Amino acid sequence: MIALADCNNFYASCERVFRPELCNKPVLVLSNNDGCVIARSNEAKALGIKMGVPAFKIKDIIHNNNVNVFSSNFTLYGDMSNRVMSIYADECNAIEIYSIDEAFINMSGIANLEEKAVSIRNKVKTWTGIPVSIGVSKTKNISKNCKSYS
Amino acid sequence: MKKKQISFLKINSEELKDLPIYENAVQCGFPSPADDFLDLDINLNDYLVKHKSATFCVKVNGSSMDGVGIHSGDVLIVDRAESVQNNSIVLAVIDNEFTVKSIKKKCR
Ligand SMILES: [Mg+2]
Repeated sequence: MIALADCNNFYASCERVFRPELCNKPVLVLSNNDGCVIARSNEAKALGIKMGVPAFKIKDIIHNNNVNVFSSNFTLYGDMSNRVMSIYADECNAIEIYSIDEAFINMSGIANLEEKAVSIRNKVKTWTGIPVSIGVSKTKNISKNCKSYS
Repeated sequence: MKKKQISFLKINSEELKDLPIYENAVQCGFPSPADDFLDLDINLNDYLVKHKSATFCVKVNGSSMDGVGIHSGDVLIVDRAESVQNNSIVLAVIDNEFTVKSIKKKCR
């Protein structure tokens, strides 16, 4: 069995770890030179802000809703990613890093898959502050599709 | 705006060399100079950091923790993997702000 673990709203979640006052507030992270939206907290998604939209096009939404906007800080995101990935690696015998916030986790030999997935998710949240969704399945493809329901 | 009580530092995790421990450095009398060369090394990363993925460093601002020996400008090593005990000193979030507090558990 294989799990896909994906950090929720990763860049926005990284910013929040260090800014607890942004909990439950809309947060956006913009691409280099503050061009386009590359990460949104759930609250920002709920305002209808789409991924990839240029910041100047949503100036009014940002202003009217007190949206917290961050320039991207890839040093920080890389550091947080390393922390999350090494927690996965400690919890199983093999992982395959798929992107900065996604990894496949080998779950073979684990009796209670749901319990294991929940414990990994809780550990990452406690140790790093980053929320993660995990889908478990027989193939990588299905794991990726399940994940949205976890 | 109120000055923040803490600020985060980036941890440079470059490999730290093992340093020798000078066990007899504070002894009185006439120690042999050779006593300083003990077969004991300390690696400060290993010694100070138990859970690397859960460890963050913060710099303290202000004098609110002077009573427990934490002064303005001190750097704290925060381990999010540790559980809270009575008298633990923690980095807490109170009113949406980070603050350093000492935990007192009450009996009921
Ligand atoms: Mg993600």
